[in-house]
Amino acid sequence: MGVVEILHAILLPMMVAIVPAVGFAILFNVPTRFLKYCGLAAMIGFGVRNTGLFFDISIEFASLAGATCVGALALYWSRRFLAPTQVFAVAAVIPMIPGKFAFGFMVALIEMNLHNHYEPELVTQALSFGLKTVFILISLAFGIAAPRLLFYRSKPAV
Amino acid sequence: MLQHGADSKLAETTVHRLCTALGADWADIAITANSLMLTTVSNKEFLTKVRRVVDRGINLKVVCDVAGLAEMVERGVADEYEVERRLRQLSDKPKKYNRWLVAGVVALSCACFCFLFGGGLQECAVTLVASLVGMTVRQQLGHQHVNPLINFAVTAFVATTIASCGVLFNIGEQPRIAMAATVLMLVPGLPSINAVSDAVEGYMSMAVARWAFATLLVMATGIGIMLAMMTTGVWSWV
Repeated sequence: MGVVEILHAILLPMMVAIVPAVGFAILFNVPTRFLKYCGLAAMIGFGVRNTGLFFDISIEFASLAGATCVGALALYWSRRFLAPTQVFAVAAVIPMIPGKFAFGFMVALIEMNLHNHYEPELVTQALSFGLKTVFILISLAFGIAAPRLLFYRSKPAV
Repeated sequence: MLQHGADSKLAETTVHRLCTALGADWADIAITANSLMLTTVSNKEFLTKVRRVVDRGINLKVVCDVAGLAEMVERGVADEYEVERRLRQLSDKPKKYNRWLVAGVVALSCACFCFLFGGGLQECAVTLVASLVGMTVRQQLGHQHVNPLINFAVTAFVATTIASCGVLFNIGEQPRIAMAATVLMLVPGLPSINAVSDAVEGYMSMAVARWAFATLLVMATGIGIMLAMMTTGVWSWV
């Protein structure tokens, strides 16, 4: 486990993850002054997730940890700048969204139907993709919501 | 008015704070999938209104500004006329980023996804071109108020067709990664995250409605991908 390996597995994806986060933040029309925070949160969250994956933690728990970091950061910033949490959080978890699994599930299902072949491998693949999608999505959303649910139980959402 | 992509809890608390700060004794709202009921109590007089909620696309700037407005009113910086003026301004002219800028950065994002999946530079270039064209199509259709489901299907079709050219002409080592990364721009991230966070906070009906809509969007995208694969004959995607 050399330094180069760590660099390649964790740091490089962290840097690359900033671009989609800021890109989707622009798509969601986040105000310009908050864009850099989106990027920063995405970088940290994705870094946490990749560190988890690097140490062979399952992807769901790694995503949960990453999303919790994003949620905590977003909560802190939302107090500080008086803006809703989603402004920071949603764009920041975009790099962690299991898009590949979701569409893999979809395509496998349609392929099963279209070509009328139900080999065990294909069915297993479809099922595992589908389950991964659902569980990762739930852990992401729960991770974002968790800090708010834990620390600010009776205060307003902003 | 908050249905530009805010979750239900945020909508409820913001409306409550805005109304109480403007002089009502109490305000409650009930949110359903496409309408919103608001009751205010002021000197034991009740005032109830039902408003239709149209999905006008995700725009977190509006959400952010309305929340900021509530904050301003609570601190006494803005009065009711100011609030009305600002809200009208927000609903009439939502400020948006330049569409070419949006298309460009989204395409760049997809290229980065391609890199994260382990694609090389050539695959990334294919992804960039395909998602740029796809995004332009999506914006054009969205501009003409096409149903979002049809919009997503058409966009997925166009983007996948272009990306599968990479497979046909053997650009790069693993051209299929480009196909996978291109359609990632169509993942309904915000609806699905809002769905789960609504569910966690106890707004069950909204959560189910949002989840169903997100699933339908994914289905529409899947149909688009499928059509493209049938046309180009590039199969087995992952």
